[in-house]
Amino acid sequence: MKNKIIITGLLWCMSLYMHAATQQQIIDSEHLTKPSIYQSPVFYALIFVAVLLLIFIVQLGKVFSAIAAKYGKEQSKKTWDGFKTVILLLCLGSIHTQANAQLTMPEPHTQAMFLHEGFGHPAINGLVVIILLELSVVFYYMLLIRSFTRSHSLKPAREIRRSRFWDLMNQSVAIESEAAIMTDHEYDGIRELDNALPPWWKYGFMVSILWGAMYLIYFHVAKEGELQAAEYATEMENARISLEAYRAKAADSVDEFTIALSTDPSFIQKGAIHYDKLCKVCHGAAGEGIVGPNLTDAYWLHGGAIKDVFKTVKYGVQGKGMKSWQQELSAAEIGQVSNYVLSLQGTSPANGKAPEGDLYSTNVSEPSDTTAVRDTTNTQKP
Amino acid sequence: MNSTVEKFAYDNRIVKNFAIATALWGAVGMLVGVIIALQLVFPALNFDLAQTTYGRLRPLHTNAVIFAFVGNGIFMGVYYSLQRLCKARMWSDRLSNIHFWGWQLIIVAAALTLVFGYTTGKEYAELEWPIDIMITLIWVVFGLNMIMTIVQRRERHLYVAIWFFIATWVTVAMLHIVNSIELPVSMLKSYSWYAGVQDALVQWWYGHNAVAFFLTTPYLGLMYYFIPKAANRPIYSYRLSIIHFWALIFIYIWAGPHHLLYTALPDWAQSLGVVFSIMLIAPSWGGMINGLLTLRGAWDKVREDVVLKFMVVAVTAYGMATFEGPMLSLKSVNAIAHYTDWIVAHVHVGALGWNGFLTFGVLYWLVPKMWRTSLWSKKMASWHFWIGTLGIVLYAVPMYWAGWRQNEMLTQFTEDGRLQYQFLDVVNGMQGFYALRSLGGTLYLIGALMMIVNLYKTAKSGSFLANEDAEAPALAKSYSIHGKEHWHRWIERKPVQMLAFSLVAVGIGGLLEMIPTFLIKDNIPTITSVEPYTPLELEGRDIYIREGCYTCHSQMVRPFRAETERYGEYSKAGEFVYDHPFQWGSKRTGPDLAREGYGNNKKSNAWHYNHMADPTSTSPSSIMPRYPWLLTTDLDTSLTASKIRAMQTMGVPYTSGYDLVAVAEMNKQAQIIYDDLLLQQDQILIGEKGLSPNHEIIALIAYLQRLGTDIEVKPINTAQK
Repeated sequence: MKNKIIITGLLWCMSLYMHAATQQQIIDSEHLTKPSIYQSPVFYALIFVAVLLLIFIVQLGKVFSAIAAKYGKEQSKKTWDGFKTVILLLCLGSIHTQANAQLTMPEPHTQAMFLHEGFGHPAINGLVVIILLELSVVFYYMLLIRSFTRSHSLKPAREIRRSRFWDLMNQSVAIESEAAIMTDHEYDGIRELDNALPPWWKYGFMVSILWGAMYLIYFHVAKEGELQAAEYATEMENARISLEAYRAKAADSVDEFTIALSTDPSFIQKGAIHYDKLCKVCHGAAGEGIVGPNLTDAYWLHGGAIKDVFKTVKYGVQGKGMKSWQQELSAAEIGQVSNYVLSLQGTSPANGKAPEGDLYSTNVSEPSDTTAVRDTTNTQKP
Repeated sequence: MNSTVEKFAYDNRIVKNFAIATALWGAVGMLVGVIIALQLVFPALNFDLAQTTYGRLRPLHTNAVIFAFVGNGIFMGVYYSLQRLCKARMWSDRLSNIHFWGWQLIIVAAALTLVFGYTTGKEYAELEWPIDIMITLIWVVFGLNMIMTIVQRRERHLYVAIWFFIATWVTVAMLHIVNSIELPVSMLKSYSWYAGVQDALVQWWYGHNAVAFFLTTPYLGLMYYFIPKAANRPIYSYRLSIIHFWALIFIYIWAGPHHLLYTALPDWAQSLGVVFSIMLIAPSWGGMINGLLTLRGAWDKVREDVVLKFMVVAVTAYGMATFEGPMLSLKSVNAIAHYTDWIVAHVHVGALGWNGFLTFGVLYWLVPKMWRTSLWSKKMASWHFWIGTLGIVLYAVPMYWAGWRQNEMLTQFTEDGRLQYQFLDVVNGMQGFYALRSLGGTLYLIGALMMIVNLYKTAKSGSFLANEDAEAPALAKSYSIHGKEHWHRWIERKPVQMLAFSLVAVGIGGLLEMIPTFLIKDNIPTITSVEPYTPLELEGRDIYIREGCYTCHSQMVRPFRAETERYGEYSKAGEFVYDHPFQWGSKRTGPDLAREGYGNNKKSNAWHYNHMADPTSTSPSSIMPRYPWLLTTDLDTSLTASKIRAMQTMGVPYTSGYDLVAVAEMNKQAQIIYDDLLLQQDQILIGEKGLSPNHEIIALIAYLQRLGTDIEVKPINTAQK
């Protein structure tokens, strides 16, 4: 069959590229320790698309020959032959270009950069060319089929085109001639035709099985793919790197060592906004304390200096119900909240909760009053 | 041949009973769905009553629509089609009646027990052990009646619909029995025999295949009967039926682990779930193709016939859902969609579109037929179709959007590496979506109610034919093949072999996934610091299960930066070894609770107390219901000792004789929490009966404070490389 030639051609192209890519890898391994092209998901995705298109082309080829046979067009054969030659030439041409491109190796460091992304590698370029070729074949076939069905249909164009398209795609026997494939089954008046399996369905099924096998091999036999623990480690590492990069140039870098008391009312007022959103459910609207301690008295569980308060807000107190807010608030915002909290000192709101922790005084250094230090989260097992 | 023509009559009365039950339970199930949808918009609709809170009504909704609406729909369709496809009356009218009334009794028992808090805590298998046994018995009655009818058939070969019925019966029996193995503690309390990861695997093997063999295969059987009947067209492809039937039942079973991607389930099992889900696309679509292409040449009818309209949308929805399902099984997509409302949208396209619309189509076809009249109002049926379709769209679109938005918000980091949103921000962003969704659900329900009126009027205008006369020659004893026949014809003559082969096909996947997970120790690496729950924590856990907390809260931190930053170290398989049943959940309407008692998530006892009394007191604009009864009800300790003994039986290492001191130990731990709360009594929202160490809330606090504390967690920002 004519389309066998083109398929062989395409397969051949692909195997050549695979070969080229392997060669490439050998060269790479001598020069670089960067990940090979086989670790690039793009590579596999492209192969997958290429195979899929190939199957589609085979189907279209069958449809095309069916039409050609039906309308007995000699002309089609001629068009086809010419086209076939063009395709083969294109394939060969592109292989040679690519093969040459490979021999002239790029500089090692640019190579490494490309490899990192997966794009730009000769094998990838080759696959892209193949896919483009395949797409043009598909397009050409479609044009041919369209022109045939148009010129030969007697019935209104719209209806014919729709049903014929699906009949061709599914390789259904036309309704008028379905008696030929009627089985002798009959159940309560229900008859059964025996149409062929729709080719796209059949090959799609096969491809999905193939994909399944490839997936298992990739992750569990070759162990190339990252399973979830490794994937997590990579994600965290990437986050760490980008965070470090950000911190290196970030100006807003106040922390528990550098924070200072502010007297700027607008700065403190900004803290009130965050306080209302995040803090008041536990510490009360006026800082009087609900399930969290009273913030208006001079007694502190974890220190009453601005640096202490900043630290408590930033890191929380593990296991005590005070969560760390550094996920929700930026460093500057923690500074605002801490200052706002300290601005509440001595306001003595109504319903103030009893003092907890130690008396903190800016000018007294010894730990004085030892009012009930309690643990409000104790669930200790007996 | 014509010498032995036999006269008999089809039993339409049993079909009528199931049809009425389908329509009525359908309306009930959908109504409960609308109520719980509205509860998420207006939390006041929980009414502060235990029996009407979301956590108890949500299982009622799922059980009602799956087992009452679709269940009765299956039986309606099977009893109608099987008799005609076998040219035989049901084998035993008595068994038919036992089946019908038994099933309705199960539904009523299910509704009552779920509302009153008797639940096993395993999704779609919430019913307690006595009801599980009832289900098994009634299922056997159904199976016996079906198989014997098939055995006594007057049709040599079994039509494809019957293959699906047989596979359904045998598989559901297997799934139900294996997943329901539980150790009873009392008449209405039991513990799953499996624990943690193993329980999760068995549960989702069941849950996934309940979708496959309760919502899909029997309905494919119905499709194969009612579509060609309604369209008066031959089935498109006999060989497609064969391939897609066997491929579907074989492959479906394996895909269960795709519900557990990125959890503590071993990687290999997850990968099997992924690949078999992808392989499932074609077999699922085989059914859709055969259904839609059967309508080739009848599309002009589809434009006019409301029955066909419903069926076409049903089959299309089936095709969409069975394509989306495998896509959701790809790990990268699953990472986005899991635990969000995307999944809720996905299952409702299946339930409202495929199951609902096919059921409506069948009802609109059957009722005029059995009452020998024509439909009372075609116009009304057409309105039902359009309102229902609009309902599906208004349901699905907001939920897809909401799901996408949830993931987007929850995984968003600021430039300086902080999580952009708190969980509560996400909850607040959902109100509009939830409101639209409840509108979609309401429209769908209105459509269903219109159908009930229409069918009632139709029945009133006709006269019901209880026994439909038929005649057919008896089957000859021997059968000789004339000429060349398809290889598959052989098994179509052998119902018992068909059943056995189906069982083998569906047995393989489950066995190959479960045996290694149960037997190979590497799959669940032991963590020595993991200890059994204290008696108080165990009682608290039972309250957590009773209130259906798992319907909104997961207990599974997945290995993603956005989750470990939010909740703490990701969950490990070894942490769940004493969890009978596991409580990983499947949806996060609220935040994950796996590390609720550890690290940054830990709250004070007083916080928990206030939060259960009124969630908005600690989390403004929370949509969680209030639980005032926990603050006033005394904990029932009469079963504590037997609960400890049950756990010991299942291998939980309590020291021997611990059951005897369990209550005393429990009181000690409760006293500590009580003392702590007492210190802050001015600040907490104490219930009517004051603060007491005996109240249920104390046990629940003990359990919540325990969650996630078993392992020593290394700081998360230490890269593992």
